[in-house]
Amino acid sequence: MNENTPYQLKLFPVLTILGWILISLALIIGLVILTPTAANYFGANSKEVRDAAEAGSVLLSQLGVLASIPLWLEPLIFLGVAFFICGIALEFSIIPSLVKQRGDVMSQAFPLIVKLGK
Amino acid sequence: MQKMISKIAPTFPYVIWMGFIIVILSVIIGFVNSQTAAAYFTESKAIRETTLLAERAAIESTILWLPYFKFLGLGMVLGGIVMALKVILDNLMQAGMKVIANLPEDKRPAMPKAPWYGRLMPIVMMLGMLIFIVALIVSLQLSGTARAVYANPIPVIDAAGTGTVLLAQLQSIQATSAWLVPFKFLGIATEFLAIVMGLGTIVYVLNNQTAMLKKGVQVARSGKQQAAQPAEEADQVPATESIPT
Repeated sequence: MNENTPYQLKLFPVLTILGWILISLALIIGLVILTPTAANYFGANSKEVRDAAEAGSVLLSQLGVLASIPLWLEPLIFLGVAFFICGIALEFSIIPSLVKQRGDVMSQAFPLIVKLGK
Repeated sequence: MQKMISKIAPTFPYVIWMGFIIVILSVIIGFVNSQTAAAYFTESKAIRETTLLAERAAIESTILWLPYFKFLGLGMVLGGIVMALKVILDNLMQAGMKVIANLPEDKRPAMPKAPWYGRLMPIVMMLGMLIFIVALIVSLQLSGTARAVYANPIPVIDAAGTGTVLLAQLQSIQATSAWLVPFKFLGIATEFLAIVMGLGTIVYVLNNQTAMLKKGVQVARSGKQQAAQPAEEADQVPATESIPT
């Protein structure tokens, strides 16, 4: 990539990588934080115990994690998807100028073809 | 492998239609489930929790597998787009080769090697599909577990103590759902990555072909100039042959 490379071609890999990072991060959070917390909260305690949890207890903090993290995790995932889509849009936006460039070269080529035909 | 993929790629409209039909089916199943839920919640809490067990099991299990079925449909639509990009790429490259074939063999420029991301694109697409299929299988398994759990009256489920099968099943549903939701989005990300790679390859091929055309024009022009000098005429390639039509 040189200085003349259009900004879209420079930017789309960055957006793609960012999208990938955000979505992978969401999966890691799901695997590392939410899964073990849900397993502990629901697997190790009956409903009676869960309902009787008092303020400041481990059970309530686990419930807080399970209730709060998905609320921001889903928008984060959609931000990742949005990065991907923006990257794709940038790639599409470069295609018209490439087709125009090709048209310019073809317009140079056709007079030569016409001369050959005479 | 690449040849096989190129043979399969033209079937992309079928893949897109299949994906679309799956999404429509999801809407219909979701609507039917909503009607079951509406009927379920018209009854009193006591009747709901002790008598309408099959309805509850149907609602809970459908909620667990339906989103993954829907995402499989979306994944097929995105996969179809990747296949369409592969068809465009193959056609672009074939057209380029046909143009180059007009040049004398010793004057043909070397065809640029396909970029790594272009070769990887179909594999990434298939990986995305695999993620959707795995997610659907896991969710179907979970929905089976949910059917087993909700075949019991709610008071029995609530009374399940530590170490009981019911609590273990409940744990399995909750813990698996925690990672399965972001996992299905990983499938979407993988399909998008394949689309990015396909478009990147199209940009690469267009750039290279334009550069080759420019070279062809230069060869043609230099050929014209040399034709004007009879002494050098003998070893010239008919330059205009290099101009792609």
